Amino acid sequence: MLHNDENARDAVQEAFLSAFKSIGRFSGDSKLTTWLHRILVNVCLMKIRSQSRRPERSIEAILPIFVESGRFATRPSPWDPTGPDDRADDVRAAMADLPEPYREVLVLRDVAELDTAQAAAFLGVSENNVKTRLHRARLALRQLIDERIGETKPGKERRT
Amino acid sequence: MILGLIQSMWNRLLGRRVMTCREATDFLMAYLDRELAEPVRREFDSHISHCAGCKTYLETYKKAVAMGKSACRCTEADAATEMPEELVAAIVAASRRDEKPGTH
Repeated sequence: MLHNDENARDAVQEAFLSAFKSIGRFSGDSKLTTWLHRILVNVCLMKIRSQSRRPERSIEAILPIFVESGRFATRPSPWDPTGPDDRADDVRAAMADLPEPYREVLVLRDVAELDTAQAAAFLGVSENNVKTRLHRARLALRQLIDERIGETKPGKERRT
Repeated sequence: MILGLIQSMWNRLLGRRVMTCREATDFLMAYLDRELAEPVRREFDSHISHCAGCKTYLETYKKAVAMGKSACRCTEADAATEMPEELVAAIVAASRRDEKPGTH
């Protein structure tokens, strides 16, 4: 994920330290390796985020915008079907750009593959809260990937 | 799509409620998880069938979720060097024992 052995070693060390500090939060509902993987992914995404030059944005600034009638302010454009599959770096950078509470729930549900109840127990919030946050995180991730695809399309102006 | 447009105009003429793009976006996750009540799901399907923007949005949303899931997944090579679960459990158990007062 980090394209550099030294960074990867640092990340693993940080992840283990973080895991030992928060061992009390491990409920035993998920596999330990899943739990450690989640922590490691979070550490890696934070490292990617720290290297980003993009300003932090609130979730509201990332979510899609609608006009008063309820239609999209900008009509979504399709993604090149041959393009986005090979964009793991862009996707990780997009995940790293998510505001922390949304990144956290996305990693728990979509990467560590905890179910809604397990993620809710882990975060100490209601299942509805997890669902709402996950939905917004996925909408924002779609938007951030869309922006990165728009930036690299040859001969195409960046969409706003 | 044309049929959907006619249906949408017909619904409006009859004063029936028509789902907006904003509402369709709100329902995306529940729709994909098959958690929408039947009347709402029908309304959603009807909206998607005549709204090209929402159809594209639904497709790219699904793709973004799949890309997010695979971008941080362990590869087979990673899994081969994964620490055995029993070893991790033993380390954690030892760490918890050390935390208990009076065990030093």
